[in-house]
Amino acid sequence: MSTSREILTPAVLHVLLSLAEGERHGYGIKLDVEERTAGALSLGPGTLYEAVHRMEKSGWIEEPARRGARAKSDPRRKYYRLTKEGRDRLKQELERLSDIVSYARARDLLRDPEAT
Amino acid sequence: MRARILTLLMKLYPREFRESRSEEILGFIEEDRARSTRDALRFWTRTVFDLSASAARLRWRERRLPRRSRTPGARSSFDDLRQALRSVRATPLASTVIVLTLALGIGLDTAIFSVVDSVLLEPFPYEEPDGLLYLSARWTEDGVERARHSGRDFERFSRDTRAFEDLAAVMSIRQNLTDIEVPHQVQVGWSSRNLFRLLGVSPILGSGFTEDSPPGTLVLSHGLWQDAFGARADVVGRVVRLDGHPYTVAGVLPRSFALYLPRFPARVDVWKVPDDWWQNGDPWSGDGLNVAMFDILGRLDPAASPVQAREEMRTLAAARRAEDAESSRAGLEYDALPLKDAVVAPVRQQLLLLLGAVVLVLLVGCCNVMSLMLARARARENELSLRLALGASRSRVARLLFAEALLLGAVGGGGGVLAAWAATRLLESFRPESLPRLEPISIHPPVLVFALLVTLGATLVFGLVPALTAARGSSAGILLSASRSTASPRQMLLSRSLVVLQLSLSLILCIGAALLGTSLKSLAEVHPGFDSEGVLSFSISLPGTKYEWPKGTDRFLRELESGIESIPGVRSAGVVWPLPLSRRVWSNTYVAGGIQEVDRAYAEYRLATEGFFETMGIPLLEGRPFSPAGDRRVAVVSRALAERAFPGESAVGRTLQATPWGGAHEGFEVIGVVGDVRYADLREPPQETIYFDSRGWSWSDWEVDYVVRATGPPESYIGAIRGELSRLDPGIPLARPRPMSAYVSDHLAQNRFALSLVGIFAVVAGGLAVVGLYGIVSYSVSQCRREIGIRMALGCGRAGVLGWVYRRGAILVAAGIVIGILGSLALTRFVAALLFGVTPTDAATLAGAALGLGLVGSLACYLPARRATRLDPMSVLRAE
Repeated sequence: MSTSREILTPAVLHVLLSLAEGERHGYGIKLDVEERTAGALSLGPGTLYEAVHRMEKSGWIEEPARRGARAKSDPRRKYYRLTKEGRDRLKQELERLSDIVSYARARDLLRDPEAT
Repeated sequence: MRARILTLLMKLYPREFRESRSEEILGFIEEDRARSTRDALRFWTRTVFDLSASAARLRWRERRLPRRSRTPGARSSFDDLRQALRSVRATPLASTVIVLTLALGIGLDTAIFSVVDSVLLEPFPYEEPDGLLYLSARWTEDGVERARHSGRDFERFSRDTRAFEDLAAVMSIRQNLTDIEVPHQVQVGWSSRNLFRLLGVSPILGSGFTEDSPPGTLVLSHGLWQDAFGARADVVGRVVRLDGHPYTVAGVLPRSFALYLPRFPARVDVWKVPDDWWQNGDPWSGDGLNVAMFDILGRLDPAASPVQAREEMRTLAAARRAEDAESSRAGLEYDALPLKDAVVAPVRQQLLLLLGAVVLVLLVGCCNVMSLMLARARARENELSLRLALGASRSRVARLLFAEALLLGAVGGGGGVLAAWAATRLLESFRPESLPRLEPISIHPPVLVFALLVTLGATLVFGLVPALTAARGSSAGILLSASRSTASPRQMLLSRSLVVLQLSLSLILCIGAALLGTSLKSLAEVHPGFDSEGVLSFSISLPGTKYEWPKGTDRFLRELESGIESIPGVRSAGVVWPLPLSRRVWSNTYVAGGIQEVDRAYAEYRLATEGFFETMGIPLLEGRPFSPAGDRRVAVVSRALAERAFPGESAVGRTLQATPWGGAHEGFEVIGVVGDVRYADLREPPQETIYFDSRGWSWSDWEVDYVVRATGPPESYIGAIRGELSRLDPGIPLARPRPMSAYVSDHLAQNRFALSLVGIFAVVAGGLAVVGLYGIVSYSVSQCRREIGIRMALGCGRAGVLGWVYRRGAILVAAGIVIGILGSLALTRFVAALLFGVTPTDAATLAGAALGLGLVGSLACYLPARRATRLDPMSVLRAE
């Protein structure tokens, strides 16, 4: 995933989407993803931290230098936020998806076939 | 335990990831568990799977990225696993058998251990359950063994004992619950006000019983609260009626609550504070009726010991015996038993039997795995010595073997988890009613972990030890003789002993299964004295507040009877109490013909209408049945009673003395004699029985059983009968509609449960043993190709070779059978209590099981022997 051409896994994409709205800790990401996908995607601890680990290595996310007051409630909690690279990568991926959707729209593929 | 498993799982991750993330991950899991709505098993399965999968992905990724920092150790442990996978796949048959054996062993063991654990080992869900004692009584009255106490006894115990901090008394009856949407017949528990405090159980709603709760206070079970009250929070304070009398709901019990007592209904729907309308006088007080109907349990005083409590109870019993030596309470004895022991006593032996049987299966399985591991190690001697000769370190070879064993163990263990799951589902589907716990049978994680560890350990030991011995020899020496690998005589002896052991253990299981099978068959063939097919039974109870006794009740019962008979398809209907085989007892003394008062002869008492005999197919042997008019002065007797009281003459027209309502004997004219019926138990001979005319005694506030014979499946008439009942009175619930055949089946259930399980175990163990036998005979054929070749070249015919090989296996079978029979003679006496119509040493059963195993064993020897005869002697000799 260090190359920009690689397609993101659903876990990585959703973690990026969650962090795009602000910094969150691990379990907070899980809850956000569940809410956004209406429960269709539920990240387990291994899957989530595997994605977090790899994204941090690639420099897409980072731990904020100053922790917010919230973090004091549980010192084990680490918060994450998007870096510039992460935000670019998310934009790139969303553009790729959006290209696909425009293509499909142009060919009338999104319409219900029954309706024609 | 859980933390340790998680720490182990973390080890799966690459070190760098583990060191930086594990604290976060553990925090995540903790939070997730706290919020998850999944049940524990599903949650942990998912979490463990998720962790293992992501660890595998991270490791895989790490391998693909060229990293200088990777330690050489990491490389070779991965290589070990890959090589192990290759060599396991190279021997598919042996590997499959090992994995299946492990899976079966782990699965069956976990399932049975889970049952034993939940029934025998887990403490009851009460506060400090070890301090609870059950005060048992045993005495004989009216010819029946009794085990309960009267209110007077309760008062005495509370007054005269010092070892108890507190005592509570309970009893249970069925009553109609009305003033709710759909009237229910419910199981009502009467309890002294302190019961829940004594157990340490608090209601989840309301205050429950307090010291000053007035009579007419009610506490609901969680189940009834949900079913009949829609789990509404405002139920507290609501007024409902039990048999027409008003009660106020004062609380709801927690879902997990159940009162475990010997012979006490497993499910009680409502609990009520004692009241006194039902009996004449307060049943709890010393002034009340001296009727023994209570179970008493006590909380041991912290300063007293259980021994002290027992001593006190025994002293009380002795005083009581001396006090009224003339009383009908013959042989009175009291005891104070730990509650748990008292409850599980009836099933303990059966569960231990199953446990023993499943341990035998595990032993056979271990023998099998061990034989196969030995054979694998032998087959690979060449490969191993080659590796050593080429410079592989001994520890490297050991690690490879270790990885193989681990791989087999892990796959087998995974299969074991699946098998355990399937086996618990299977157990749940035919659990007998007699198992005294309400919770569904489920896998207990500690048990599963234990079984996994045991079998994994066995695999590792069996995989490593022989392999290491093989690797220990001088590599050059082994290489020199490497063109032919043969087992040493000592190894062969070990393998053969294992096969004999397996055969004998499985024969013991087969004999046990055969004995149980014979018992079940003879029990099922017992004729209960009535024809249960096509008969539906149900019961109702008429509230005395609405139906005046006897005229009002009698009219209602007659109208219901004729209403039911008018339903299309119904052939006949009748009334009886108590229902045959329903485990309800009503009996007392009688005097008739040659039977005098001093004989204290006892008979079963029954209320019946003429329709009962017709519906149940009980033959009228002499005289006439009851007439529809109803007559309280007549009786019908069973054949056994007629023959004992009036030997050689007709009983019809004679008079007998009986006391159905207690008090002095009254005279009844015998008008008919009917066939014998086994009312109490299929195992016992029919009791002498007196039938009284139900129409004369139609009572209220007590249940009456109906039996209905109809064409087609009995259950299909429940709706129509319920319709008839609610047409007459919508406030009276139809209770326990059940085909009569279900009551017969209940009496076979315990035997069926034991037989099915032991039968499955016997088949599994026998199968494993035969596979082992087949393996060893095949192996010896492959070892002796040269010898067989020479024999054939020297003119030994095919029949000769067949016999020679066959004998080598047959001698193992014979040894297994002899040892197995000896073992079963020593062990099957433990099943004696479950047997019926057959003794534990029944020669025919022993011979049958031995013959069966012998035949299958012979086949397992014959197949490789026949293959041996197809050898071409010249090609064998040339090859060697």
